[in-house]
Amino acid sequence: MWNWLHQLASPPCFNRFVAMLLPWLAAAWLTTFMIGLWWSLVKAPADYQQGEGYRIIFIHVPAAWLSLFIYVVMASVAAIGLVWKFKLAPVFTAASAPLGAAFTALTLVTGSVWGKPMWGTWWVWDARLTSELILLFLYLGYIALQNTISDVRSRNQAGAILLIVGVVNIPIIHYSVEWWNTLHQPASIMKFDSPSVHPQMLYPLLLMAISFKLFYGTALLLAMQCILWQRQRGGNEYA
Amino acid sequence: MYSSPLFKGYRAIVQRDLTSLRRRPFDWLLPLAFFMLVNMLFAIAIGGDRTALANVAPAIIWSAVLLAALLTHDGILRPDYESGFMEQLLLSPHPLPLVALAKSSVHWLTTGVPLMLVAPLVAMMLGLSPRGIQALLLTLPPTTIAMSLLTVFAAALTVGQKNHLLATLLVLPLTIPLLIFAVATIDSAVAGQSLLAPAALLSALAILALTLLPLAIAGVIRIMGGQ
Amino acid sequence: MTERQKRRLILLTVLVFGIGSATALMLYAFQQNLLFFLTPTQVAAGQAPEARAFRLGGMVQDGSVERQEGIAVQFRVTDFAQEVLVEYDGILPDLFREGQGVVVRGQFRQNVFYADEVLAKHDENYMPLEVKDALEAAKTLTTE
Repeated sequence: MWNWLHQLASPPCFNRFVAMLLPWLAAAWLTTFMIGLWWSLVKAPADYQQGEGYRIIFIHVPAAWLSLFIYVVMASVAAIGLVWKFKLAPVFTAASAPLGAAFTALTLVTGSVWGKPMWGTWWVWDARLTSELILLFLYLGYIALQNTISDVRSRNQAGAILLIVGVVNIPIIHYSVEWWNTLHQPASIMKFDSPSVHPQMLYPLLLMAISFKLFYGTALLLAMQCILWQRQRGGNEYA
Repeated sequence: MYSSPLFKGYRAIVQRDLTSLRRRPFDWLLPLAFFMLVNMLFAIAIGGDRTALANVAPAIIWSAVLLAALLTHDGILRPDYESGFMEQLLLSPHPLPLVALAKSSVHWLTTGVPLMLVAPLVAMMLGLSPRGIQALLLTLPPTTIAMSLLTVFAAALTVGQKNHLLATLLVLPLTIPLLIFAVATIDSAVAGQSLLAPAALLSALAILALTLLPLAIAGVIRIMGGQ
Repeated sequence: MTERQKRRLILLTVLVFGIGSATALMLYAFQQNLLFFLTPTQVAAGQAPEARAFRLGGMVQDGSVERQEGIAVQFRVTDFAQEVLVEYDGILPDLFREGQGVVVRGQFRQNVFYADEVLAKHDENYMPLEVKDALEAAKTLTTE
């Protein structure tokens, strides 16, 4: 298993792997996204309280999940890369960071658009919104660090440690819902006993979440390939 | 235990750094001046409204504390790298987490403690109520301890960087829980509510920083030393 | 024990002790209430800060909303034990309605809460209108 992973980490092997996987991943993303979009925007019924406006959750919630997910994945990959010295681990985190930052920004923008009609304000400094903003700055800090350290090896390892320290903030983000009893709703999907989102709305939401994750996978592979090509051309960017 | 060789190195570094700082008083007086200045800027900007000033006093003081502590990051590790002292430390058998802890202790003694002495004074000038000042005194030690560790972490990450703003981008997001709970403690004290919950959370954060950050700092010091 | 083993042991002890005590402190803190807003009962008990804005949370009491001239509005916020009279001069959010949760920010003077911001607290239930109607119908059936 380790051998196979180490082999995969060599660029030619990785390129073959990407060429094999990419079409399927992209097709899966497009299919789920199209179905999910139709399901959530057309087929799913309007909410009893929020009317049609609630439909923004089909973008907002998957983006919020993904923004957290990417950071945790980056930190895990960074930790693994630090211990077992995978060559691709720094490429993975470097390619993920802008994607994560973009989805965090998307979460903030859609949340704000949703907040105006629903709560009566564009922005509330409650724990969850603030945590999402902190997450954005964590991403930006990592990206800035990557851009300032010139030595490749120290850049990779210092970035990995920063990610691991930053991931300690992720539980704070996740449990902030319970810490602060705010006007932002409690996380209603994460309760496994009886989801209080009606199935007619829950299924398209979950489908959109899967679609977003597939998009992340597709974009990640492309971005990693770009970084590897840049490196081959002698730019020696990243890794 | 204190006399064991592990702690000899810790003590030696603390003593060495304190001696060198005693000879350069400017290094620890400057953050104090900065702290007072930031507070003064806010007081002047907000103007003569004493109740408004008292209401935002905790927010001003805490932002100023965090910024003043972070301001000193450049002087913590860079001289050691430039003089080759860090290379010696890396080659020596001293455990690096203890080196990190020693560096943080020195930073706390020379930045955290002076800030702790001056902050109540500034709080009085801003019109914070006596209960608020009590709460401030209670929250200053854990917050400044955690802040010192974070500052050394920033110093380790940005050693050799020309751009001093990078350290703020890396560390300020991590200080936000500290800020929230520190201000919440004072606010609940002023409002006459129990301040046990935020104070406990603040201590928990300080303990976490004290246990985990020396390991992270040690890792970064080793990476940057191997450049 | 070799020096290396001793160091590992010390590191492990410190880690366990540090993380353990931090967790204990956090659990203790969670048992205390870290409140974002005060309830009408707390306000009635005189816990509201004077001359200082704070947040008041509760339900908008049924039948208590009175429109005044212009867009000014008066309503009562209740936690089913105590209630507080709220005055607000501004545009109410869409989700504001009687029997719904609300968080208002403002100052408390002479038994009236002067709000400068009204935030609707939406519940965490999402369901289609028909389901909601069916539920209500079922409820009235059982109560009748």
